[in-house]
Amino acid sequence: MKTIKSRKTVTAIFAVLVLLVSASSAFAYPPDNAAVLYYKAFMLYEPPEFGPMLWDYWKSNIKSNEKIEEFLKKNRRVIDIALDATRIDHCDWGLDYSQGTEVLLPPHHKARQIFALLAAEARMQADRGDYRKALGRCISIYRMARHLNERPIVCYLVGTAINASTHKYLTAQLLSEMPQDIDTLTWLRDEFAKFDKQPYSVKPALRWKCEAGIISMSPERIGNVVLSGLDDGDFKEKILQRIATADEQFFERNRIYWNQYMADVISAFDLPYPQAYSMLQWLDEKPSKEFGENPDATLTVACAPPWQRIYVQHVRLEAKSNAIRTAVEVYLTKAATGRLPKSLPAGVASDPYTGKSFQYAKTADGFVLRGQAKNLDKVTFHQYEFKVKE
Amino acid sequence: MNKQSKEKRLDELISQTINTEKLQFDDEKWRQKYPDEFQTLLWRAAKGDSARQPNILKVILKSLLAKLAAAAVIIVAIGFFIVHQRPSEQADTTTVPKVTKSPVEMVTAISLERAFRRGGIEAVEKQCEQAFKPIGPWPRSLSVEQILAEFNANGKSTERTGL
Repeated sequence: MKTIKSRKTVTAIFAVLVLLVSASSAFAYPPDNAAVLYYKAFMLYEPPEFGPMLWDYWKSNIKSNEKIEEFLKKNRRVIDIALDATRIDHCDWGLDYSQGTEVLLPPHHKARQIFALLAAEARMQADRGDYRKALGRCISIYRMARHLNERPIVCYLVGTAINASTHKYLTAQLLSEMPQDIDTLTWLRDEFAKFDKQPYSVKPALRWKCEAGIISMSPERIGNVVLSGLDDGDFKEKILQRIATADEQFFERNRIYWNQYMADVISAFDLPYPQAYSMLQWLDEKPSKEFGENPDATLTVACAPPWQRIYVQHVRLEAKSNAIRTAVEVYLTKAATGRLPKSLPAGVASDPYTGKSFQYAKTADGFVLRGQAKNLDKVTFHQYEFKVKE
Repeated sequence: MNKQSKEKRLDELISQTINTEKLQFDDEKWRQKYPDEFQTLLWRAAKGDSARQPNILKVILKSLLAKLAAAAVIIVAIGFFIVHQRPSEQADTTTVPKVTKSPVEMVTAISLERAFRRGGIEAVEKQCEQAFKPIGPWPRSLSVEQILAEFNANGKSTERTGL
């Protein structure tokens, strides 16, 4: 009798526990996957009817007006959902990587629109004098860019574009306009340090591109890949003709060629800037040049994106990131001593174009950080100007 | 007037009309009458002998056969250049290709990489926008009455939803 009673008690306790656990997970907000909230924000957001005014406002080309204020107010919920998403560590967009290069990607145009919304809100906070909040919005945007950096190269590029735009805003506007406050700048430095534990990287995209290429280089998939990946023309026709008459050995040899090619690409990204730039140019041209004589290069021609262009974006972003981190150190010195330093503080981030630290010089209204080598894509020296609000 | 005198008169008339005498070139008179042409001649003379050497291209182009051959060589060279270029080099625009594609085909990684090759991140954005256009955002409001009305609108929807 006693045993039956205790069994019933145990069952009841177990049932209550199951209910409690399931109820807490069923009603938990925010969810543990940021992508759920991003998708929600993407669906709820309607871009403004007044065109590019939001971008112009964010870039400080125009001042705030009633339309912009009303629009940001109307989209308060969307902004909050997106900000909630950026606070979640885990982000899984639910991409089916077994599809190789045919994987379906998230709606990146909506991500860019949400970015514009958050960026305009950051500017609005700065206009109101709440620089800490404005910087907070920028940090949120950086987190969103990291969430977008899934394995496909295009995801990396979309995230890179958002990062680069935010860097530009920080350099040209926010850091130059705001007063030097030690607490705020220290907080910003700490936030950057958190990011630097897991730097925004192109490496996962490069590794996955190699895997995706292998998946796509099969008789079942390659036709679609060529049709989607190349513009119409004789070149595409030639590739399709070769595929039509291909046997399994052709695919095997093409996969070996691709593997070696991608190993070279991944190694090239680690080389110093001038060598990497030349090497990737050579690798961009190699499969097309060999296409006529070497059938093993056929599918690499169809799958390879323009590596040198991707590398240029990669190194440019790294240079901007490092320049901003260096600038924060300079601003901190100014906040602590009341004067700009005579030289750069020790241990600041280096310029990826040279591997050396930036050249630092004071200007009439602030300071400038210059690269010590020419950008080969622009054939100019790169530099970042910062103003100092007195 | 006899026949001989007639012929003599005719010779005189012809002689007067066509002026068979050897022409004497009066350079002074010509220089005064055509000053611009005179200056042009002086300028050409000053340029030296090289200017007067026959132009090889002109010589070639004087022959109809050579003209045709040159045109054929140019056409073949352009065709060869276009065929052997990578597709990315043939066009550089951010516009989405007009080939009809389903939204699914437009948002694959490889298709968006192609868009990037063609026109950078703006082209990627445009292609995504075009693919998702039919979906659009959620409706601003949706009441229970609207949903019920949809269920009751026709028998087909009831069969479809099973309600």
